[in-house]
Amino acid sequence: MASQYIALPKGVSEKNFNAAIRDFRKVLGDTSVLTSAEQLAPYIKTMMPVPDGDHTPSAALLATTVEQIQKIVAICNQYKVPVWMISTGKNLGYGSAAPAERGQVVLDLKRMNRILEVDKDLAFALVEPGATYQQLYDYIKEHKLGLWLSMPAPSAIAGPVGNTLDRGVGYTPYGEHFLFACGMEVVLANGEVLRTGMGSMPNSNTWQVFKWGYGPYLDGIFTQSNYGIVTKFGFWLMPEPPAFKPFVIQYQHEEDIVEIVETIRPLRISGVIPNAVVIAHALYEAPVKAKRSDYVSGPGSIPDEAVYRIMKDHKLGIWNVYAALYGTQEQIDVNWKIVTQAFGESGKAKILTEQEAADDPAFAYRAKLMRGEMTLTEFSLYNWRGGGGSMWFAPVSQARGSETLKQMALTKQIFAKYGLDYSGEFIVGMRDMHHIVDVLYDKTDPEQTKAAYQCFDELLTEFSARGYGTYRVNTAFMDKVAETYGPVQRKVHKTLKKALDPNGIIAPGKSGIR
Amino acid sequence: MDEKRRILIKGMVTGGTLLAFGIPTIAQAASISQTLSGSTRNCQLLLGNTPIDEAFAKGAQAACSRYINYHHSTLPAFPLEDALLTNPLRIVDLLMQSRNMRWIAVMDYASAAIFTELVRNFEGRLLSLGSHMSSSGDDASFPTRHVWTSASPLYSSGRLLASLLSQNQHDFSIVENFLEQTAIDRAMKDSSLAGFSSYWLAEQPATHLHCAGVSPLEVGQLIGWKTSENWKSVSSRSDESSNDRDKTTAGATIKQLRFDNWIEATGYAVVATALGMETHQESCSSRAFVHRSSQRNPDHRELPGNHFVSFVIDV
Repeated sequence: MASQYIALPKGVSEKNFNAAIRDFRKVLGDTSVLTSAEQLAPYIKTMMPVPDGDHTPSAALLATTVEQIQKIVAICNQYKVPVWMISTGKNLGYGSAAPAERGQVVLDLKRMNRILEVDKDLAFALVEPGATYQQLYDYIKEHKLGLWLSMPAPSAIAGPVGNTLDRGVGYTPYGEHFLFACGMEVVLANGEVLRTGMGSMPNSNTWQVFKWGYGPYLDGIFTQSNYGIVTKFGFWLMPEPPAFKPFVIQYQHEEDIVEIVETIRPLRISGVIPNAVVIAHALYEAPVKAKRSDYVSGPGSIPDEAVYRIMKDHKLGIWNVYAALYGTQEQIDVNWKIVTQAFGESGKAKILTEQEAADDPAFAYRAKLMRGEMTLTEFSLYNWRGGGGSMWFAPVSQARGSETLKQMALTKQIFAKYGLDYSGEFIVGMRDMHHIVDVLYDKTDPEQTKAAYQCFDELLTEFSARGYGTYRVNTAFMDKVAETYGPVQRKVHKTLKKALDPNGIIAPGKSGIR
Repeated sequence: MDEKRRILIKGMVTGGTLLAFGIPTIAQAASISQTLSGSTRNCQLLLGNTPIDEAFAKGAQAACSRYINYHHSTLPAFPLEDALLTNPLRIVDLLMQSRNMRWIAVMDYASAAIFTELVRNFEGRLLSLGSHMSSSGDDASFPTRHVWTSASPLYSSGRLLASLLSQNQHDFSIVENFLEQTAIDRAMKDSSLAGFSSYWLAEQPATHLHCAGVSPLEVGQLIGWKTSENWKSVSSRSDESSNDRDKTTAGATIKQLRFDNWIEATGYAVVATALGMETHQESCSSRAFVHRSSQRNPDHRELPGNHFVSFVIDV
């Protein structure tokens, strides 16, 4: 007899799952427990080169309160049913809203979307997991709070909780998001509610202003993890600066990346440039202005000749460095002099101000991101090839030019082997660099899908062999990346998991932890 | 702190928005599939401001005009004047105003990534999601490829599209994945197409294959399925006996239909299915139609380099 569910959790009989669903409905009501194929279909689509069936949920639960979540984990423990939490579910290119393993129940927290507090003076916010950046943006504008957000490229439709918990980044001086996190509320697998840091102390009003509390700092173990369900989250906001000066610097040769990074590093460490500088390759920027099929067809990576034509046609550098200065006009004037002197020294850089690049759509969306405004323009990447395939490859390196060149050369070499295009950017942090590469492929083409999988697998293998760790990855490759960090770390992760979630009901498989 | 200080008012794209307005979206969406049959009053076409809009809409309107129970002559179309990337609020407003509506939407991959998220946040019912691609190079297995994920075979457009494309000598692959196997009282051979041979996989009987001009042994590699020698043949139909089956519920033989290009044909198939005109469904979990023509239609325009995504959703 056919199952009444489109999938079942691993090791759970249909009879037991029926009982669990019945109990979930008692807690949430019938309309907040989704089991039909039509209702679950929007949770299934991923951009990964694996069958969507590998990540099909058995049900989705729409919770609205902490108390409901406490009851849900009790039911999960009783029937050994695993849940996969999403806040807004916008982890596009990292697995989207689909669970890591087939049959897991999606615990969708989008209805828990309250903005609980925004403090203008102390510049912090406390929100629930479903709150979106757009909500916060509107709230801040409406109340004239004079605060800026930092958000990732999906901006409006994503939210700060999910992005920060997956250790995502933004483009303002507050762009290293977890660095600016302050205080969480977490429902543990046993149903207890933990408030981290100062939140554990009754009557304290310092939960969102002092991170550390007393004793071991716990917030970190609830990021990229499955040790609890975060239901409230505090983070710091940036006061709106009196002046803001975005700019782009273009270079014409790939090997110039060495000079670029060597120039930027001291400016970043000293704080002259306070935000995460993006060094975007021409093919990362091209989709805003063109489609791949405008230039090439047929198999293989796009040839250099076509890339140079794109650069010429669309006024792009092979490297396009986006950064901004923030502060008073006097501060900006002083720092601008330092920046232009540093970049102007070799004569290779073409420096464009906002006035000079205002009509460029690539610059326009980068400038928006650097001042914390909503834009979805980066989604244009998905039109480059079409076909719906995308995976973010995200290795980390030291902020040194020589490292950058090595990483780019290795990436391009592996991409060429599989006939894919290098669409990459480097994001210069305080002392590190995130090398972000979108592995774009046509998911309707079986050969290309297979190539994308093999390409990604080889990237992870080759980079880890050279000591380059990946900081974030999609759900199809979490085990592989966890393996690259060695057995001791995996054992510690597992020990923590056993202690906090002995029945393994919270997101098994997240970051390779079960 | 005041935890009840702010319930969402201005937020976009969350199911909580609808709740804040007291609108139980799930309950309302459920009624549409009961009411749609026999009427397209609740069905609209959303065109995502892409180069294929016109061709898709032409095919969609052709389907609509053949729908004999339809009370109007055209399917209401809502063109987005700008892309979802630049103005997502427009589509948010549109979805919020929709009640008991079946939307057939077509857009590029960038917009589709955003639209999928909006559909989930609005707790819409996604009946089918199609990915449609035409390549100009010689790298692809087939120049025209369609991959659908549908809630069940009831929402499958694959067979109808295959019948349309094969008439025009297209080379194509259509792969369909169904999230649930709706029980349909119909033998597989009743769903086969003239000129196609039909098979089911011995180790996975719910995997069905219909192919023409290519052997089932070759198909696995070409469409991304595991290669298998265990395809079991279903008795083929002769062309002569096919006329009675190649009909829509509207009574129009699909052999009379001619389209300028594959995008029009896709528009026809998607809309005809959404309107309930396609009745030759079969109970299976995966299905493919693969066609390699022995002759190329010189008048046929494959429009290489075009790609888009289609949605059928109830909100």
